[in-house]
Amino acid sequence: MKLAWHIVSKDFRRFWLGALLLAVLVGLKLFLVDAVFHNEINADWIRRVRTYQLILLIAQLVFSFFLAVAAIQEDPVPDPGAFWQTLPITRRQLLGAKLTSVILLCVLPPLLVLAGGWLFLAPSVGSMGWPLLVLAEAQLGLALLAFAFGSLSRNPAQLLFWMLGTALCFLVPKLIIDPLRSLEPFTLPAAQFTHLFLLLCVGAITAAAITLNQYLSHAKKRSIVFLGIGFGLGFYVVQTLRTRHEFDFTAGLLPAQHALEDEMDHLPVSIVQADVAKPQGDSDSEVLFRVSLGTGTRPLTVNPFGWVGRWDNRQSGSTEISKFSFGGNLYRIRENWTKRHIGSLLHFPSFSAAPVINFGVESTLTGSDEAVFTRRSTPYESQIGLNVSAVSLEGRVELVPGATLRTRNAAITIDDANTDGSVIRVEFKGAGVAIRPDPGWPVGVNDLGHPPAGFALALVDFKNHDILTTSRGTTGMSAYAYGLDFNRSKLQFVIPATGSKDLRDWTLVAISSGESHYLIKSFKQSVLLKEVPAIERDPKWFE
Amino acid sequence: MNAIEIQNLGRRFGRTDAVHDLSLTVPQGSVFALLGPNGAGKTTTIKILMNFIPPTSGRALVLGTDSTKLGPRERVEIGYVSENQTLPLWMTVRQLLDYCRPFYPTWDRALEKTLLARFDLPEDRKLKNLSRGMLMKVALMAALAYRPKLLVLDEPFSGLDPLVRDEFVQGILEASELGNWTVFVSSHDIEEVERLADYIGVIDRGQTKLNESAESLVARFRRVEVNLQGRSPSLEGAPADWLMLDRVGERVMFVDSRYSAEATDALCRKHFPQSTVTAIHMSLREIFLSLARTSRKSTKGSIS
Repeated sequence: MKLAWHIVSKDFRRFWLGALLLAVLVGLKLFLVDAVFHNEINADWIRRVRTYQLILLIAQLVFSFFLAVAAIQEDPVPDPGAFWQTLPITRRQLLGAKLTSVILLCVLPPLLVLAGGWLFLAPSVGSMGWPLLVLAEAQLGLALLAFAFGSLSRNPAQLLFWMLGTALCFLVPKLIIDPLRSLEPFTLPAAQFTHLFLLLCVGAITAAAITLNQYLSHAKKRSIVFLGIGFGLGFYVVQTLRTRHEFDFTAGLLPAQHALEDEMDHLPVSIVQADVAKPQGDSDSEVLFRVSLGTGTRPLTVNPFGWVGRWDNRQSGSTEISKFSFGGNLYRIRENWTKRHIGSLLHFPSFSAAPVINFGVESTLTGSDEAVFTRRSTPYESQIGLNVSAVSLEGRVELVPGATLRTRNAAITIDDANTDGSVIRVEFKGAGVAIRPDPGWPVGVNDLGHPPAGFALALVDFKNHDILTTSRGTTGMSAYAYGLDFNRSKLQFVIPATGSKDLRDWTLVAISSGESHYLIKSFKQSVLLKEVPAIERDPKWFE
Repeated sequence: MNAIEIQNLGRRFGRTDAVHDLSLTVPQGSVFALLGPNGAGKTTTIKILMNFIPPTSGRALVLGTDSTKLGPRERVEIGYVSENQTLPLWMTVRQLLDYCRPFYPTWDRALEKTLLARFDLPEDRKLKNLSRGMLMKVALMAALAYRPKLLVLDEPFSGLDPLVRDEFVQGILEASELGNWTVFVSSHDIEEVERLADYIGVIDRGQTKLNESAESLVARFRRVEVNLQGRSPSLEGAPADWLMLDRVGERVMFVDSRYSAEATDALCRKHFPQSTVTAIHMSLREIFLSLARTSRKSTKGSIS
């Protein structure tokens, strides 16, 4: 053990600069996220920042991998001419030391920087866990991958050989399976999932076979340990498809981007909203889903399972729908849901009514297409569902500029609060929570790419038992990195005729719903959508 | 106990026998030179001895332990320096010594200082900035400082200039005197190890050709010149111990590998009546060359 640490300390002396550079890359990314939060926002600037962040992310991942490989190749395990072979240590001791080295080199510095940056940028220590886990997961995955390749190879040329070989293990089955995905019999969700699963299994088994072959020729019986690691990695990769971790791991790989992309994509579009006409089956207020449809010029947005693009053709029975280009999200409208939960949490008697299920749809339909849209009547069947169970009141704050609302996962500082007697406008900066520009529904729960936990802001008049949820015109801009959203938002609350016009009567409250990272549940439901008037967003906010 | 005992050792790479039925004995406290031309199987033999690769047949005992079972406990008693050895070039000489020290409970700091001074090595210079000769000295020093019972050197003189080679040999000689260690050194050139070796092993094409003390070799090998005095007898039927048998004019020359004054004289007179016989001492280098040339001509059987 002592000798193993001696080797680890040698590796740190050798690669301290690399570890420092890795920490700097993570630090720079946090700096950019913070810049999005603090600086003036315009679309060009955000695009540039997004590019920089992407470059930094790729640099971080590539650098992490090769740093780990270099640390292992410092003492190439299978090389009989390596210096370590002359030392009185076993291969097992060396591998243990190397594993420790790569984990500490690749995981520890980024985590320390992120933790430090988090404490500086974000509000709460309690919210640090998930981002640290996301980053640790990504870095650990890379370190283990590098360990597997690095410990197989005598030299860089062999390393390249194994890497290309393993990449082909996944690529070749993919090339075979991909064309099958466009065939109708393969478009069912379950079939699609099965093929992806098979693809990964084939890749993992082939990679394991290469590993076995290589280790049998070099390390004989010791190969079993590494085979175990290889299979563990394969299992891990396969498992990520079935859990929330997939998305959060992806978020680790593509931080800060998809939320921004959503915002950017949606800026110029009209919103068409529809209600659920006939909720059926065993659905209840916990059910929530998103679909992304499209057959034309507009590419699909986040579409984790890749199958819903053909949903309209197969399910609708309506020829009109298949004729136009349609990309959109199907939402539950949560205005009543939020109100009801806040009311029941605050023990307001009038908010104990049974849940009402409403859905909304957001699309990119243009004028001529809207005519088609009005006539549609589309039953929907799916196997996607989310589990949103726990609801709690996170905090409250008076509507005073400079006041801060702190919750478990976020801190919101009010920049301005004003009213013209009919609408209350609240502008704030926040970290740790995503405030979507979509009015009416709780933020953070509106697509499968995010944890099924929600966070909503509302105004409450405690004297009159009035609750206002955000209304149309509410906008926001956020940047996402390592599980944390940094954002600026402008909330609008429409005061009802009977409501108080005095700001001092209203309190900003935060409500959270659900627990993060629940597994996806299945449900089936048929809904009929009907058109409601389109709304325009406030374009000035983004100029 | 012998420091190394190799019994019918074999190692196959695909269809090639790198080492085949090799047997050698290295007495404890000796300096043993394993000689052979390039590709003879010296490095493969050493890799098996160090348990870098396993044998495909036979076995080798190193300090009484089967080579395939050599572990850290045995390794602290074995020093190893190879021409192909890679060193962590980013380290300075001092850093390398500091790195190696904790691995060896028997590390002798006083000896380390003595060797540093003896080899005149710059402590603060990075290994990548050292010449090849200096690198070999660093490797040797790191292998000597923990006082191993057995020092294995694989072609250590390869590519060294004569001055550095001399310093290196001197270092090994002094070190072996310090601790009465066994030194096992491989080389393709007898000249390199002539001053060192008191036992010689010769292998060719993976097989043992010789395994004997240098003293015994020098004693039993003579270059013999026979003056035929105008006669021209046939060379057929000459003893097998007469190597490189050749006639030049009125003289017959050969290397007698079983020389004894009376026996050689009697045999010469029997084959070449009325001739005069002159026996000349041979250096180890001359003996090695005559053995190597004979081996090339006839690869069958042992010439010992």
